[in-house]
This record gives sequence, structure tokens and C-alpha cells, in this order.
Amino acid sequence: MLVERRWRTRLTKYPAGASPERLLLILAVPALLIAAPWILSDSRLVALAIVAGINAIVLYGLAVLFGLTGILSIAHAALWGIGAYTAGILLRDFGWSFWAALPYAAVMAGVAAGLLGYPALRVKGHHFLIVTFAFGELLKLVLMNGGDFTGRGQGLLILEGVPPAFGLTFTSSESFYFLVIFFLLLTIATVYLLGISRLGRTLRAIRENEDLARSVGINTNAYKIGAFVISGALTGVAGALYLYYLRSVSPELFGAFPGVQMVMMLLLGGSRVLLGPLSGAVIVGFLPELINLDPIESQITFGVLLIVVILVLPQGLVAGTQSRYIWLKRRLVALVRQRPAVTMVESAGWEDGIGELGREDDDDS
Amino acid sequence: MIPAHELSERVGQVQRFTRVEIFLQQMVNGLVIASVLVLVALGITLIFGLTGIVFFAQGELLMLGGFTVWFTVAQGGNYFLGIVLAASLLLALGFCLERGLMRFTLESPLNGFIVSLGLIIAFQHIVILAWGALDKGIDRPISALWNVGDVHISATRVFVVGVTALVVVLYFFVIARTRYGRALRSVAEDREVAAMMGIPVRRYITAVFVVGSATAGLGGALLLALFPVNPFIGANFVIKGFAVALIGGLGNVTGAVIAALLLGLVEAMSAGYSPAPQWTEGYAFVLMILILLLRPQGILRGTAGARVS
Repeated sequence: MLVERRWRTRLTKYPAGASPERLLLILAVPALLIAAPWILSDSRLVALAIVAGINAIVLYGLAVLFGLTGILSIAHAALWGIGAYTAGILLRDFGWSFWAALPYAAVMAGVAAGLLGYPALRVKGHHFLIVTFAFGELLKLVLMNGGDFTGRGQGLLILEGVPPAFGLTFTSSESFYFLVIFFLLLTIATVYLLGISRLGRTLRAIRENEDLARSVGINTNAYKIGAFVISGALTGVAGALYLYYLRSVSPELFGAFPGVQMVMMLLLGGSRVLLGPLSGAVIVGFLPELINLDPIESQITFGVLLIVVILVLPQGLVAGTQSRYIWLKRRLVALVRQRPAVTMVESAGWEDGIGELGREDDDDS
Repeated sequence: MIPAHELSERVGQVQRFTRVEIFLQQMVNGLVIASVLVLVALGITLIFGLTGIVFFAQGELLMLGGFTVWFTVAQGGNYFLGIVLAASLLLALGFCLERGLMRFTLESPLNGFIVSLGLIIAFQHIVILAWGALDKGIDRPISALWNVGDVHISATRVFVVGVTALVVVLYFFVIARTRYGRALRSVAEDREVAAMMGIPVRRYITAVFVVGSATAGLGGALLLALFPVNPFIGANFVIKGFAVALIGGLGNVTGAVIAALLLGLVEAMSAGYSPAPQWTEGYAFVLMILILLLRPQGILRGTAGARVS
């Protein structure tokens, strides 16, 4: 019976029913995000939250490429940098404010990502990974040697903040945080819609078996480049936000190793679950605070954590937690109802939008 | 030590450097760069050839080798003792890494790559925690300076290139002439059939990690003789090491050697002659991207080959 249900949910276009857990998440997560500045009393914690939020947007961009399309890239820090530098140069040379420059930052990063996508058509897997690593380092080199246009080693410095819009000012820490949350929620919504859309399904098909996808007539090259562009655009938005938060950016922030950090954050959280990227960013942002580590110790911890997670919970922490939760719930239900629980190992997927939570509720009635 | 009368003569000679001398100096520099690159690339190319794992942590192993020697010398030890210690330590580390971590990823090379990323982050910051992030250097272990014609060649450079050449010759000999080398080649070619033929594949994979790590450690030790090391050099050398391994063909030792020589000379020439020397670091990346796009299997075909669509 459960097997039938799995088939049914897979074939439906929209996510399976609204279970209590899922509704709870849909309400709780945005609520928590919005309420954070009041929960986090310290302004330093709000600063961490801002950075975590910006990182999360980059991670959602990377998740579109890796989680959905199956292409891993270490170049996303570089794409992030392209977004930041575009916004910065547009402000410095043309006086374009944040709102005016934002679309262009997204476009430039998207175009760069699209260009990066072309080698991906020719080389796969590991080789492409190395290409993205080289891309990251190359970009850092270009930024360093770009003369005064790119500000060389010191990078760019901007003097303005984000101008007011819709009657809201963004000068304080909290208001900037809300700006970031606004874009983050927009990103999550975009990625969710992408995940359940036809485009998302096609990308997933390409991820699972590219040759098969091509044999049924899907133009895999076009779709892959498209995934790159979308991924890049999201990252570019995060870049502009980062520039306006830090007020200055330099090439070191966007090389290959920050790219590795991005991959690490995404893999910690989970690339195929909707809450994965957000969790990864939050964990990496706040774990050092929670267990009181200095920056270097925290990096060591993350390195070790990444190794442990990838070996024990390859789907990421969120998916692992979901599986455990489902397992636990089944056990409890069986205990209460005095009948055996059916154990099935399920992997969380995009099909149900906000992960698998609650799908088995159908048989609880 | 240069005697005083020679010193004044030498000063006079500085103005009279000929183009040939500069060229030869750059050639020697190129060979030195190529030496370190080849030591990193050998491990990379063998590990990939046998397991398909992109082992990015190789650069960190080089860095650890360099730091081991620095630490030894800083404690008052002999440089050459330091080399032996570095190679042994990295040998043991390679063994532990393979047995403890990497063997769980043999079925999924992507996981192996991600584990190596975790190792990079961990190793880099452990070293920063232990010794700080600044450059660490030592005095030239061999201070002799030789004159070949009018060119001054430092004996340290000859030492570095010489040791590397020895290691390369050793690799070639073992791979081409011994039965272990033959077994290695067969594992690289087809793991399953090699296992069916009775070759202990897992043991060879462990051996490749062990030897590759020791070689990288040696590379770091030799590097320290000429340049200071810091915790971040791993990134630089691993990407160039991968460039070399890719250009030569992943899994192909001869290719790695040739590519290392090529890249070493290109970098030295660029540093010496190019009007825009700040791009020297970039040539490795550009060459690698070009090779991946135009001839993914490398100049001499690699064993695992590249997946081309």
C-alpha cells in the first residue's frame, strides 16, 4: 500500500497533501527568519545572521546547479565576486545605486556562469570540478591584476549604503537583515517553484541519466547552460548584497577556497532538500558561537564535520534528520497503535517541495 | 662562503651578465619549479589513475612536508634529517588517511573528492593554529655556489633537481620494470580484471596513497630549501599539480613529467622575461582549461581518460 502511494505522489504535478509537519515548516521557518533580530539580542549575532543569509542565497544558487542538475562547482565564490564587483563598479563609475545595479549584478554573474557552463558540456565530473577550481583562482588573479578598475589587492570600497525603497530605510543592522531575508525568501520561493516545475523535472532527469534524457529528445546542453545561468544570477544577487553589507570587497574573498567553503556549507546542509542550503549556512554561521570556537578552530571543525557528514549522512544533515524523524515517528505510531511499523528508507527529494516530512501521514488515519 | 677577493670580482661581474646567463638561470629556475610540480603531480596522477578520486589534499601534504622540515630545523635539527622525517611522517599519514578515510570512498570518487576538501580545510587550519599563518623559511642548507662557465648555479637548486630526478627515475623503473609496477599498471587499466587475476587491488591502492603522500612530503621538504612556506601554499601547488597531471594525462607518469617540465619552463620564462609577470601564476590555469577543452585525455593519453560527451 505504501508503495502505491509513493508512485502516486511521484506522478502528481504538485506536492502531495498538506501534512501537519509541512504546514508547520512553511509557517515556522519564515517566521523564525523574520523574528530573528528580536530573538538574537546581540547586534553581533544579527551581523552573523546577515552573513548567513547572504551565504544561503549563494548556496541556493549552487543547489540549483548541484542538487537539481547534478553539476558540482567550486566557482560559485567567484560568481559571487562578479556580482559584488559589478555592483561596486556600477556605483563607483556610474553612480548607480543598489536597486539600479542589482539586476545587472545578477545578469553579469549569470552570463559568467553561462560561459562557465560551456566547458561543462565538454568535460564532466571531476574534470569540470578542476576547471571550476581554476576559474575561481583565475578570477582572483584577474581581479588582483585588473589595475585601478578592479582596485587591485585592496579591492573596492563604497561609501553609500542601500538607498531607501518603498518607504523603508536600510541604514540599521536590523533593516539590512530584513532586506537580506526578503531576498532569501524570494530565492527559496524561486528555487521551490523551479523544483516542482517542468524545468526542474527536466534538470533532474539530466542529473539522473543524461544520455537517457538526451535520447528522449531533451536538449541537455541548452538546459544545462540554463541551469548555470539561473544559478549564477542568484549568486550575483547575493554578491551585490554582500558588497553593500561589507562596504568593501577584495579579491581574496572570492577565490577557489571560498568556493570550497561554499561547497562545504551546501554539503553539510544537504543539496537536494529545500531547507538544506539554509541549514548549511546557519550551521556554519552559528556553530562557532554556540560552542565558542575561534575562527581557526571552527574551520577545523567544519572540515572534520564535512568528512563525517559525507561518509555517514551523504544526503546532508537536513535529509538525515528528516529520515531519523520519520523513522522515529513510525516507531512511536506503531508503539501507540500496537502494530508493526513499516520501515522504508526514503530519501528526501524536491518532488514534495519542503522535503519528505509528513508524506507517510496518509496512513495514520 | 664566498671569499672576499672573489666577492669584489663577483660585484664587477654583475654588470656583465650576458643574455645567455640570464637564460640559463631561468632554465635552472624552471627545472626547480618543475621538480616540485612533478613531485606533487606523481601522487595525483597515480591516485587518480587507480581510484578515480580527485585528491585535492595532495597540496596540503606538500605543505605539511615543508612544515615538518621547518620545525625540525627550527628545533636545531639537520635539514637532511628533516627531509627523512618529512617523508616518513607523510608516508605514515598517507597510510592512515587511506585506511581510515579514503577507502570508504572508493565506490564513490565524488565523496572521495569531498573528503579531500574537508581534509584541506582541516589541515590548513590545524597548521595555522599550531604555527601561525606567516611565512616560515630556513637558511640555505647547502651554501655552495658553483660556477659553470660564467653562470652561477646554487648547489641547493642542483640538489633539489637531482633528488627529484632520482625519484622520477625510481618511479619509472618500478612501474616499467618490476612486477609490482606491472600489477599497478593493470590495476589502473581495469580494476576488476586485475582483481580476478589475483592482484590485491586494495593493497595497491593503499600503496599508491602512501607513496604519493611521501612524494608530496618530499616535494615540500625540497621546496623549503629554496622558498619559504606558509599554510596556504597547498592551494597553489595542488592546482598546478593537477594542471600538470591533466596536461600529461591523468594516470600517465611520463606525461606528468613532461608536463611538469613544460609548465616549469613556461613559468620561469614568464617570470624572467614577460612584460607582465604578474600573470605568471595564471598560465597553469589557462593551459589546464585549454587542455581540458581541446584534448581532455592529455598530451599522452591518461589511463583513466576523461569523460568527453
